[in-house]
Amino acid sequence: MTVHETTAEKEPASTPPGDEVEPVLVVDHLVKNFDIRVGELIRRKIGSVQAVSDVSFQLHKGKTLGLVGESGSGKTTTGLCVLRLHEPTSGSIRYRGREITDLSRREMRRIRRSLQVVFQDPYASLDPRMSVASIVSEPLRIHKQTTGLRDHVDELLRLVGLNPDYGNRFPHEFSGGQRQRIGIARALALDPDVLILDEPVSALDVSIQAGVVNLLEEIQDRLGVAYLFIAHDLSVVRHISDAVAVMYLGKIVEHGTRDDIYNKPAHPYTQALLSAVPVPDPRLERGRQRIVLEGDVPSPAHPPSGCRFRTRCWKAQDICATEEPALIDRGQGHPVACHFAGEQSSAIV
Amino acid sequence: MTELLAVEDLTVDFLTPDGTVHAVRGVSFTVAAGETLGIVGESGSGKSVTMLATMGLLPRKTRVGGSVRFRGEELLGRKPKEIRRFRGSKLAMVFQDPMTSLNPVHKVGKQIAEAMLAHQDVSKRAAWAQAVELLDTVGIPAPGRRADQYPHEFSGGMRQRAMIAMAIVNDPDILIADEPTTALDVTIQAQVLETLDKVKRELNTSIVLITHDLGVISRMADRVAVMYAGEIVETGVIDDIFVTPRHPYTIGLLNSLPRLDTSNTTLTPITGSPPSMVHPPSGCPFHPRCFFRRENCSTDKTNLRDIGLGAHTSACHYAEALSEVAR
Amino acid sequence: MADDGDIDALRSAPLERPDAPGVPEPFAAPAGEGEGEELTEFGVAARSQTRLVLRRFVRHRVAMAALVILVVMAAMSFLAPHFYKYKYDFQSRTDVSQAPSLTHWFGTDEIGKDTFALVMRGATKSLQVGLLVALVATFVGVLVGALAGYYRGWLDGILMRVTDLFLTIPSLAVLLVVANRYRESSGNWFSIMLVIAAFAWMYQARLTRSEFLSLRERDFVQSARALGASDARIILRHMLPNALGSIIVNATLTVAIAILTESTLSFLGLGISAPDTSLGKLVADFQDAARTRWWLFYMPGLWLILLLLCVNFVGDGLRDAFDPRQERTRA
Repeated sequence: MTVHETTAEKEPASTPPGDEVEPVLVVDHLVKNFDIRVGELIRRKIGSVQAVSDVSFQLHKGKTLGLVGESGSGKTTTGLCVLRLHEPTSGSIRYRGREITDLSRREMRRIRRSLQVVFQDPYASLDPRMSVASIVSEPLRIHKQTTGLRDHVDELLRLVGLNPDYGNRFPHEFSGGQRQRIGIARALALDPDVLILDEPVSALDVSIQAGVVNLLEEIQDRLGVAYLFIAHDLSVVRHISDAVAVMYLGKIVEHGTRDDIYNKPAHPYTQALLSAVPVPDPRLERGRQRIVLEGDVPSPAHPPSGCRFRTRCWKAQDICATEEPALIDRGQGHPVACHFAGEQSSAIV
Repeated sequence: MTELLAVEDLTVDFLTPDGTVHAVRGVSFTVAAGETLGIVGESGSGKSVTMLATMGLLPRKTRVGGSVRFRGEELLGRKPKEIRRFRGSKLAMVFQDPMTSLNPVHKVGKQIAEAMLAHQDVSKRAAWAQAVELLDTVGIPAPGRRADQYPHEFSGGMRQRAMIAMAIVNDPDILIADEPTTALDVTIQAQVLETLDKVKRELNTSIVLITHDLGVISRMADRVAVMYAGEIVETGVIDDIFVTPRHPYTIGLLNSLPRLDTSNTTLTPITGSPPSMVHPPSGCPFHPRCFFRRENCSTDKTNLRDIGLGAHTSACHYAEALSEVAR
Repeated sequence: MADDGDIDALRSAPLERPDAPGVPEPFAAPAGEGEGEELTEFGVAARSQTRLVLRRFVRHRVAMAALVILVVMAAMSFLAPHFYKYKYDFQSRTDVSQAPSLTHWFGTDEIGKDTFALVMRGATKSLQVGLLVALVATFVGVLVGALAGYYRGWLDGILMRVTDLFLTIPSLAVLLVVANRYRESSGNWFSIMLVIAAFAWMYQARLTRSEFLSLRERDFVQSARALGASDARIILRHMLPNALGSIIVNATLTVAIAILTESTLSFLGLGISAPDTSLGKLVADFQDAARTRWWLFYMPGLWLILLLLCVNFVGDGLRDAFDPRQERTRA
């Protein structure tokens, strides 16, 4: 594959669009390692899974950052660390300029009103023993915002397209799409600025996904919430994101605006990823050039030295094993972590 | 083209304490030699149950009606011992979850060899050798060493390919793959789909590919059957279905998909939810959610019919009128 | 120490919210989008998890029958003094060693005590012990298991080592020693009960711990943590209600085990002491009479067996009813 040297437009290295406004959330050099321990009473550490290794990004009001990657990429762990549902090993997370990694439990509780989450599994993220109204009102009750509770809950249910009359029903009586909407209503109860969405539509039927995605977009337009949209489905991410970061084995390998990533992918992994996704258009599919990667994803407990993608990369050279490529603009106009970054010679799609 | 499999008016009812679930309600289709038939549907459509009925893999508390003929021989109503002649040799199946479909306590090579020994009169050594060769065919590196390993030492993608090897060991006429890549990462899915392609080319196996992923169908299928609520609502050659769909469900499905190749999409969901299969809707099963619903749609039963477009059939009463509406 | 006001100030910081939680009318009633209309397909009243469990239990015929029998037996035992002529400690001088008749339903023993009254009294005591032991053991077991399963780490380590300790101590030996000490003292059944409970809580602890370990990872618990819920709230409001199924089933089985243990102790002469009685004691006292005056041995014996069987069947029924794989019917 030839490497094209393109003359890029002058754009700053950190690219999220709309950075003329202050970011709502800034994540800097986030690291999360999970220790592998053995033993009962005295647990010896024998290794470490490097789930997230030096990840940085920003979220802006009313904008969506799509975080994509396959299993083992660390994208979900990143989202959970931002919420401190996992404690970061190191790194900084600043909400509106305020560092939150060192907050006490009580202080963090107040911040949680602004940082909310929607999980993937609509069948597991709702307590099966609580009525829908209780589920949606719980955040309000926890944070003692109970004036006009009933009306507030009704409004939230209507906001996500559900009839408030059914608030006294239980999660198992609803369909997957409806349950996901309930989860979204709950997440919005405290009026958050930031919403972490971890695969919010992956477990839903395709025709239902569209409804939930549209709902999320409307809510973002209406309320200005910033989204961190974690997903593996590249088509959905393309639809909803303003900026995209591609993760592989704990690192961000490419980061840019949506159009940067989808129209001009420069990292071999991004190119392979895009090439691997089948498109629901047989004529297009027939003409596509496909990159099929060899081998499997290495274990996050023993990531390859240097560039973590080199074991499956067709461009790999000696330098890739000895020197880790930095995530910088190499002439494409957005940061890429590859010594041989370059555009695809022909269209991926 | 020779018809290998002919399914006619298949019905499957599950008897549960909550009522009878009419999972499949009159399904008919054929599979020809060397073609890939894609069966598309969402959850509750009955697509998996249809193929399980074909293979005789349904649990006891089920009522199966209709006819399934393989090379002219009726498969339904046979004793388990007779079905086993077909299963694994002429008709092979690959399942979704590679974690649970391989036995964790036996070596992979042994499992493949056993599949061969069950149907062919060969020595154990020959079966093992064939197992190793098949692992190579499906693209697993160092096949000799790998055959000696246990499933947990394989990754998800490799396990799925091992399953394919196990399925093709007896050179089946039809390979049925039920959501074979749904649980896999995208780059691994690409590997497995390449493998299936290769199998089809080199062994001239027909493939029945069951999935909800329209992208995978686009990539793999020659012909497509779209299922909804236990019925087939549209069939045709792949371009027919994707370029000129003639059923509101198919149209709705295609309009609700985000695209990888463009950012300018409006997603139009299909309103409502799939129906309960204990009390399916009267008339056309899709009518409660249909944007094109007319008076008689709730009363007149639907059947796949010729709509004047050759092999492209649709169950919609107004299929002809849809040419203006589509997309 | 951070100023909480600081944090609040952050939230109401410059970025305006044109639309607060209030929703303007046009959006509130979804036209094509919403799935709200679909709920008409349900047409049934809201059914809580509890009601579903009860429904499934009722369908389990053996369990229901066992429950009915159990209730009848318990009612008879507790109410016997009110409707039956003879008291358990009354000694008739005339009706001695009589076979069952219409006056003495289960006959009498060699000192004129009415067997039916004795059996009812015995059953009452057995049930009392069984229920109380189950209550105490369940409470302790759930407490230990919940804390161990939720917090893990060193707390889990310590609690589980204590549990293991109790499991390895030969309970019967200890029971015998303790029971022997309190042998003749009055109100000794309370001490007996405590000792039995002391060796019955471990199974519940292990069970609850494992339930909590798995519940802990479920998304809805993560969601609660993300909302800022306190540990107590998560344990009491979210995890415990969802672990209730296995807790209740195990508690039922603990009742059976407790009754049996008490019977064993009484049989060995170390349980309930005279003039009070229990089913086990009755069986022990009259084991020699089995062939000559069969009613003295078999009546309490069969009553005990029936009691234990019913408790076990109810436990089985509860286990089936609590099966967590409850989903809407879908093809």
